[in-house]
Amino acid sequence: MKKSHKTLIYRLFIIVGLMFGFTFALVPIYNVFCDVTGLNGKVDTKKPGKFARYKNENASKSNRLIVLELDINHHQNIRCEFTSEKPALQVIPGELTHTTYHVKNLTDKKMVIQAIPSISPGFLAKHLKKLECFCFEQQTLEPFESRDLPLRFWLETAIPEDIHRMTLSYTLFDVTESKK
Amino acid sequence: MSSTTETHFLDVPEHHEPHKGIRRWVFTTNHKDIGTLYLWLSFIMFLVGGAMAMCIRAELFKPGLQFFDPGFFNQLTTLHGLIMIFGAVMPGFVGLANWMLPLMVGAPDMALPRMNNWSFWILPFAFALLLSTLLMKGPAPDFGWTAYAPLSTTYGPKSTDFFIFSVHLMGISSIMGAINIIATILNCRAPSMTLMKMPIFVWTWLITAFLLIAVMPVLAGAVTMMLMDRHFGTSFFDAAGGGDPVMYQHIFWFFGHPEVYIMILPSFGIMSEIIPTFSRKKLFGYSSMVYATSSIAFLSFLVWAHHMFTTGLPVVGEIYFMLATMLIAVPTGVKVFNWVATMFRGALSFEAPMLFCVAFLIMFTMGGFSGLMLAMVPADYQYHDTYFVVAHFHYVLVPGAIFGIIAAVYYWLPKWTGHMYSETLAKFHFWLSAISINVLFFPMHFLGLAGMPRRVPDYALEFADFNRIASVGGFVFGASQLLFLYIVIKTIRGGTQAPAQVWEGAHGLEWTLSSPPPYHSFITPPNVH
Amino acid sequence: MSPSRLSTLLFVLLWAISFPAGADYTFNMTPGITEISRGIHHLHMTIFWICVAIGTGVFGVMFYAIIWHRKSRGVTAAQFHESTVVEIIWTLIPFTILILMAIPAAQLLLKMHNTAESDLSIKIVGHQWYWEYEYLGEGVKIISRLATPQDQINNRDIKEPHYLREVDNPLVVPEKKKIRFLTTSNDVIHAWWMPALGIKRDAIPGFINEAWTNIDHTGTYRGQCAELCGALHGFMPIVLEVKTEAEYQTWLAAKKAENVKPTPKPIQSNTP
Repeated sequence: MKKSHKTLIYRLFIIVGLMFGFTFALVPIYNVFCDVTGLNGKVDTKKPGKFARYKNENASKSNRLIVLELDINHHQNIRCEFTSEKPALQVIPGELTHTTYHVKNLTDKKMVIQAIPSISPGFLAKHLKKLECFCFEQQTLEPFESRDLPLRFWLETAIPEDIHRMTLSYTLFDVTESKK
Repeated sequence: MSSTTETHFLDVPEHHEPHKGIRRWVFTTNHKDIGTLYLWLSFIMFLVGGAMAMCIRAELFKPGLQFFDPGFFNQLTTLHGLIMIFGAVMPGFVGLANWMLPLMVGAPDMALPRMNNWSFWILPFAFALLLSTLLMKGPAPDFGWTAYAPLSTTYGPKSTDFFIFSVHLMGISSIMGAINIIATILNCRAPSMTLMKMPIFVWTWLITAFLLIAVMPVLAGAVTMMLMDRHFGTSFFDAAGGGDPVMYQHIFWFFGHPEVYIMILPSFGIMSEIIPTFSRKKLFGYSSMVYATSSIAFLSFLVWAHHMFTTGLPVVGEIYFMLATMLIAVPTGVKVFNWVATMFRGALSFEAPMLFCVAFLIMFTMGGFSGLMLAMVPADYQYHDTYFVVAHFHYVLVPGAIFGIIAAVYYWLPKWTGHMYSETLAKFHFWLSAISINVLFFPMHFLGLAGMPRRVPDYALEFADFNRIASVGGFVFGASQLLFLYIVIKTIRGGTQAPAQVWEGAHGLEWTLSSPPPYHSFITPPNVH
Repeated sequence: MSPSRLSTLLFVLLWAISFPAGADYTFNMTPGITEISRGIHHLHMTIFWICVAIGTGVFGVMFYAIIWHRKSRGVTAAQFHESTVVEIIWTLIPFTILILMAIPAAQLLLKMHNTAESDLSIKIVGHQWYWEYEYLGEGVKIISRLATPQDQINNRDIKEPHYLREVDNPLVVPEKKKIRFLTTSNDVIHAWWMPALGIKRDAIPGFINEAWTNIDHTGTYRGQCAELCGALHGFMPIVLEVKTEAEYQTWLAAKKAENVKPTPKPIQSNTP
């Protein structure tokens, strides 16, 4: 009957430690999960690697048109004008598309902004490929400065047949505080 | 058994007799003293959380704002939830485990007595810390016990850091308690007690303890991330920095759903002890009970997102979580069927513990039914975050966990104190509780279905009637628990001497010891047949 | 008097005191005004009756035992305590019932997720503590705030019938059109809930969520925020006005004329 508690207790503490670590490991796991399933319409805001390149998937074959609504949100009523050139785009899957957003600092203070994209329906997020996006990095705006923000992307031809309309939404956050 | 084994059993040889006065309780390493401390803490917290519930029901007695501003109402609901879960239910079960596990497995004490003392004495400080936020300038935690980001991060009051630290302390305490329980069960059983001879209460606690060490660190991690988001510039849950507030919910419910079973599995164990005793018949399907409990525990890790159907999961995910959730109903159903089969063709008698068990069976099953309804994703879009959910989880937690603890206290109180409690008063306590609890929670189903969201301090006029009924039931339920307090104190102070075998039909090692049992339970390991 | 007799009396008394006469209660979920919401209601009632049936069986056996197998009747306990066959049967039967229930639920769910081919898109933005609706592509934005006067909330005035469920500018939509709702939030997580449509969607800051509806009847319908979003969570109702297509177009044209230039509001937000 004489058993050492020590081994057992060490093992149990190892479980505790592993589970605590696992919680933090969930963060990257979750992000991968989002990329794969399009959970939440979360889009990767990291710059594409240098090997990422627009592949012309023989766009001419696709005679589909997808309406891409360009939606805009001002987080916490951020005092910044933020508009898109067009309210919606007609996009041919496989074709490189270009559009411009416009931003203007309405305050007399320097402002650091970050735009966060989101796509609905969420499972389409993986089919939207960005070559150039202002959401890849934070933007610093001088007082009353206005700026044009370019966006270059394409929709994969693999996008499901029954999709005719989707939304790309940008929410503009003021991150001046956290930048300090 | 050689004498060396015995001295190993007594891990603290210098403390054969208790200290006198307050030092007995502060320095105790004795499983019975610590069990008693846990149970009293649990009861005090039950009254504190209950007082908050009374305030909530008073505010909701009629439409309009009566007593509190909406901000304070949110603090009340938040603290009510935290106090009841971490203060009343969990310490209540740990207290029962401390008292009963050594008695049931034939050990002299818990495996790690000093750690036992520590894991208890952390708790009063944790709750003092949490409750102190009520006295601070600025609001106490007011984001619900679930503490969803960003309401608890960017928008959280300053006192959120106290909440985080307090949750860390509770987690450390639970983890130490769970390790102690696992060590006791695995290493300190009487040699003849094989795993499949253990009483079901011991089994359920073993499984619960493993759940605890698996998920309490996850909660600790979640609140740590919250702390980092608040103060160290990370953005785990902030979309502006590439994080996601929904990820908090995933992590939280990865802890939260097993937590639900942490609060119910020991109660299942208690049912499986008490129902056979008062049916005078062996528990039906012992091994299927063990397997059912294990599978419930296992499945509990795979269903967390059923709390988050409205956050917009992909449709495949929703269907998976619906199926997995429904699957849990199968082993749970098996347990209920087993209990009913145990009662069937028994020779039943209805002393207070048994009455609470029957009420548990009925109301827990009803809570299970509403749980099944909540699992249906399309219907959940209507139920989610309404009073239907409030009714559901109170039906499983109050008659489930709380009635389980009350039944256990009546069942083992004569063993602990050596005195019989007053059966008449206990029956009054039962009927008052059982009726008022239904008056309190049953109308909430109607409220939720009719469209009343949860966590609101005021409501539209069409919800007025059922809220009034619920409030009246709530006040009666709250008051009847004072009767419970009176009965327990009366029993501790005196009463008819209880024999060793308190209940005619009871089996198990605890009944072979005198009532009250000796300070060190089993000095020599007993034999189990 | 025995405890159980007294408790019966108490039970009757409690209900008598607390039940006021002549009030109208809603006991059940609304069937709503769309095909989807009726589907939900149907599913809800089906699973409810299945639960009632199972409950009747289980509790029936239990009460049979409670009444007839009492020690006070002088019975002696039987000795059986296991049966693998019985265990397998009562594992398989609930399992089958559940799988059968999951099929219609999954079908309805797939239908709810089919957002293709919509006629108009409305963006719903949750704010602490009001809703904002934007008709995408139309340049129309409306702010919808609680209209109940503070005096009624503080019990200084008589509460009107739609107490806490009235707003200054309701959300106006046409009937018999497929409407796509996009939800997001300006600050914390809210949830837009309209029971009559069977829609409850979280509004999450930085993300958009989607739901759709196609409404049969004109009329006014009420709901409210369903996710704790801070102090005034209970005070951000939703009112939905469903109009005929023609009425809706007139309304939309009037709104367009009202706010010709929708610029971002320079209101300073309530900083946390």
